[in-house]
Amino acid sequence: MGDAEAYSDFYERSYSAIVGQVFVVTTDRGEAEEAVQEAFARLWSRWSRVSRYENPEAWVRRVALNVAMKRWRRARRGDQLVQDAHADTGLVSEAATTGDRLDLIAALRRLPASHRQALLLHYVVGLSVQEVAHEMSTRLAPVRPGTVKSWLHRGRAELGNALSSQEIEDD
Amino acid sequence: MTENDARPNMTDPVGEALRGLALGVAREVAVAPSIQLRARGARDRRRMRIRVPALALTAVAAVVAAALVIVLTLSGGGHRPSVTPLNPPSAPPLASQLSTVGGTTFVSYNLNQVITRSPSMRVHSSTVSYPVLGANEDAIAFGAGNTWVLESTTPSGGPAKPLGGPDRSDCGALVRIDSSTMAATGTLSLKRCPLALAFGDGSVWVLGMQIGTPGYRLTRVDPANMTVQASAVIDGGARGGTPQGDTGAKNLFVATDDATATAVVQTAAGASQVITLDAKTLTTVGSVTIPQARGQATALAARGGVAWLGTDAGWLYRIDSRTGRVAGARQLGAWVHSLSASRRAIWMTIALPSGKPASAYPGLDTLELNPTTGAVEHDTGLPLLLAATDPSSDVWGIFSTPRHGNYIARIDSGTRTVAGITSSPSKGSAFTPDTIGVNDGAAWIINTNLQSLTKVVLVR
Repeated sequence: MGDAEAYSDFYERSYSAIVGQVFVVTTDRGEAEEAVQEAFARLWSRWSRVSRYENPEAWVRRVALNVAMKRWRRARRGDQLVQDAHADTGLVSEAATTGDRLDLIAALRRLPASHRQALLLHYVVGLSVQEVAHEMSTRLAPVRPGTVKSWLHRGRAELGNALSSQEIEDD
Repeated sequence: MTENDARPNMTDPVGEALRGLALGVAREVAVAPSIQLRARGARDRRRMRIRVPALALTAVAAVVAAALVIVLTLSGGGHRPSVTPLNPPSAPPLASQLSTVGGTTFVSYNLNQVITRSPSMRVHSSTVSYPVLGANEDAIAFGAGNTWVLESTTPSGGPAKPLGGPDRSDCGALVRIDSSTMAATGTLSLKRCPLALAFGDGSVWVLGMQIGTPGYRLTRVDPANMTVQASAVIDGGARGGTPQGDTGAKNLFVATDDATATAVVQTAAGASQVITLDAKTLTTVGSVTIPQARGQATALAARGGVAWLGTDAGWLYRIDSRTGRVAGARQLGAWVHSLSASRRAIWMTIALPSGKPASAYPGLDTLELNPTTGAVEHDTGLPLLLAATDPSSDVWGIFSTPRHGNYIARIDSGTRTVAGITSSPSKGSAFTPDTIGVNDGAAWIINTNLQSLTKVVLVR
């Protein structure tokens, strides 16, 4: 299988799933798709190296999350696009149109991005606390497992409240 | 194993909810061809290869230039060297959604991204206020140096006063507007409620109907002295039984081309009937009824011996103006919002079934069709609600989003991208413009909720 074929095969297998994962952090499908597309575009020029990694999907997800976070920070400095996108429930994905999903997304949006990222990596990707800390650490800002636990605890409490209030409403 | 090495509990309801959310989004994501990303990746890499040495060279040049400035300043002469900024890195491509209808896959770009990334344009806009009618795209026409619109002269409760004279027993009026000054220079009161108009063969054409009176009336009006040249009651079946308020006004159209006029009316059963008439004699050349399963007419355009009809089921009909017969039909999308013909192309806006109202993907798309065959020449991906063009191929359109409001955009007909965008005087989805027309470098917008007619001209 040639490079282009292997790349296309990997892209077709993993693109949707990674968009779904990045959505948990961005809470906006357009933003998630853009970040993942950017990550896949970067992947092509590094394919010969990254394809030999044990888990190339983790590389794409990490790059996509970095891209998304960079855009989010830029947005906080005044880029109206992402601010609007986050403020607009209309941008919530089709999968999020039911009441409980909207509550979940609203709760996610109340959390800092670092908490959302920790929740994604632990609960959706399935990494341990140690692995989440390693994944989120940078050379300049190492993240300790205790910090991750704190983020997970607070994130879980916020989302738990949203889910339990939904159950009460449903009753 | 320490607590830090533990995997998440897979039965945790929070974890389950998050996984469900991610999975739900993943299921609805369309996967674009990977070749686009490979091309983009390769392009970015080439740029990086060029940019790194370019940055080094720029740095060296900047040091040399700074040194030169210091030397020249100290020696008492010279001027500051101009510094050419590096080109900003190109923006990432717009996020898009793919939809397949009738075997054709359409692209629809993220509406919010299109709006926020489009360059703004400097325009001059003027608005006049009166109860102008804008039931559909055929509510405005241009010809004989004037802009032609229809107004309702029945009391509407709105703030604007009609221009159509004192005879309030008439249902509506044709209004002649000076295209330069926007002043109303003439009105013609009409007993049957005028609902659609067109300009062709040197005359203004008005299609009207009256609840309780069978048939539709097509009237040909002299544009110079505003008198009726000829009129004919055309078919469509008896409308006497139509309940008050249900006039089907938005499904009535008239268009002219060469020596024919095409009128779209409703049959007694509620189907759209397309009647082609000889412009000189007003006799019927041909008539076809669109099967109800293929929807009601929502758009009409005519040029080059062909009338193009769109329906609210996404069907596009090609009707031969010489015979009045259907020459072809195909489904493009789930709803045709507008059709407009230039010399070079037919511009069409459609709704796609994947769209969600009030979202980044409302499921709108703009197509450029071959004016002879109707084949899709370009799928622009632009989520325009309405698009209009004129014979010179000047293309304008309307974007509408609850978050951002309404925008008027000028489309580069060469690149099929947004050349410029400006916010519409109307804000909010309840005030989305109803009609857009293009003539002589200006876009004309009718907003029936605001009872306004706005002219937008690009400031060059």
